[in-house]
Amino acid sequence: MKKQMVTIAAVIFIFIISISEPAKADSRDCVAEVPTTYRCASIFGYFGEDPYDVDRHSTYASDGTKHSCTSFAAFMLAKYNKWMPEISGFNSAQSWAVEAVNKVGATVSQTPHVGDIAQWGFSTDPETAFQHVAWVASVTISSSGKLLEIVVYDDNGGIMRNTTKRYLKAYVGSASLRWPNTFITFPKDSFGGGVIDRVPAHTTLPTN
Amino acid sequence: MNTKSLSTGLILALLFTFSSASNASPSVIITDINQVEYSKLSVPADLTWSASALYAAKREQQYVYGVLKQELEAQRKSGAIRVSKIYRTYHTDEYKDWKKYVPEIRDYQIAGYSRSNLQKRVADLYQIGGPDLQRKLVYLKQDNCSLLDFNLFDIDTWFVEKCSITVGSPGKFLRAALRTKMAMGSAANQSRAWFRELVDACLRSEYPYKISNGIMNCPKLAKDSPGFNSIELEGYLLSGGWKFTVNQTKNTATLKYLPPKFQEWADTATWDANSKIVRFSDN
Repeated sequence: MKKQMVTIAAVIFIFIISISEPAKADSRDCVAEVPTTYRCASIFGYFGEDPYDVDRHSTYASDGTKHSCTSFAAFMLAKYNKWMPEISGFNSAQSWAVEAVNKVGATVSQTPHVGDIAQWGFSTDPETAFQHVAWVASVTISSSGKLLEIVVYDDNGGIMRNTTKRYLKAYVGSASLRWPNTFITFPKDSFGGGVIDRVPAHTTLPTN
Repeated sequence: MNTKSLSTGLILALLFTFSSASNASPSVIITDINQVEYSKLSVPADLTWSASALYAAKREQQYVYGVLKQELEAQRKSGAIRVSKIYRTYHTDEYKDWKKYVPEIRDYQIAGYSRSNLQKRVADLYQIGGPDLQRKLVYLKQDNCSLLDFNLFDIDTWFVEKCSITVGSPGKFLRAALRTKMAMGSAANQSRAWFRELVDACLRSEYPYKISNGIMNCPKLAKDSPGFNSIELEGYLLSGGWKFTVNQTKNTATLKYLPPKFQEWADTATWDANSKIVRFSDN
């Protein structure tokens, strides 16, 4: 009996520890630094430019590389979705959801999908909020259908001027990056395949 | 007894943990004071522009003019004798202050019609629409206009004005271009928002931190993303600045926004031939 209680106590203790940490350590992240500021996103062939010319508004780093979250998002959409010239006229990151819905027929939801554009700053104080977009590379769900985490890739203007790959715990985020406000699903390409066939597959882990 | 007390202890421990977790839940701990929002600022109308800035403006004006001219030519070749603008809805909250810079914020399509009123061609001008405010200063002057020269013997040319393109002054163009830069690529805006996220995350999560020489070091922020633990509490770029004041006793902070250094920023304008745009410093 005592043994059982000790086991239960241990399980509960582990449970307590696990919920006490709002954002768990995750060394799988990638943060590129000078002089390899594209390192985390170069696997996609991204080097600061996108076919929609969104990079005309990018920030130059000291090494001459160009950086912008919207340029990277535009690059990934050009790579995996249908051609949408309207994207070249999108405003800054804060406007992406509303522009995507109204101009190219995208849908917006709280549920991430592989290939979505994750957006931060939507509908909050637009000029002072953290405004950002990133590309959702994978979505991990449990066998019971519970969302566990997503992986996002991005490029960053401002003072960071680098690419990153980050793991975000469902509805929490990571220590330094909140969970996105919304997810934008853009129309897939006209070949019917869409992003799923061409990017890291949607993963399902056998967890509870 | 043992079982009972252990169970009670565990339940209490659980309750305590849950209540701690809710105490640590997000609360607004950063107050923006003296906030300077770009839409409430005006790019001064009396900025002086360097020769290289004026050159850059003229090059971008020429580019936009070329796009419009080319489209009118394409309309003519398609058999259109007149064109009309079809305005698109402007959907975003961006550029609440647009009237200070441009006569019209909405993008437009150009639709061309034949003598028999058949629509021959509709064109979106993506290169000159969207967020580039300055490009809206080079525009098709009329909402409806003729592609034909006036001809006494052609009634279709009598009551419709000939299409013309308005270009405007390079100074106004540059002023609008600087406003575009503020919205689309302000390093100050992006940096302070990012640092605000980090300061907020560190304080809200009650992570340990140290402040020294204007740098807030919060090691736990870097546990998943190396390099994100160091926060510049004060900075001033041409595009504006920020100053965090952290109250270590209360574990709160205030953030003061500092306005752009407009003339110095304006002085950095150059022509970016690759992107066909007037470029301002990214700092």
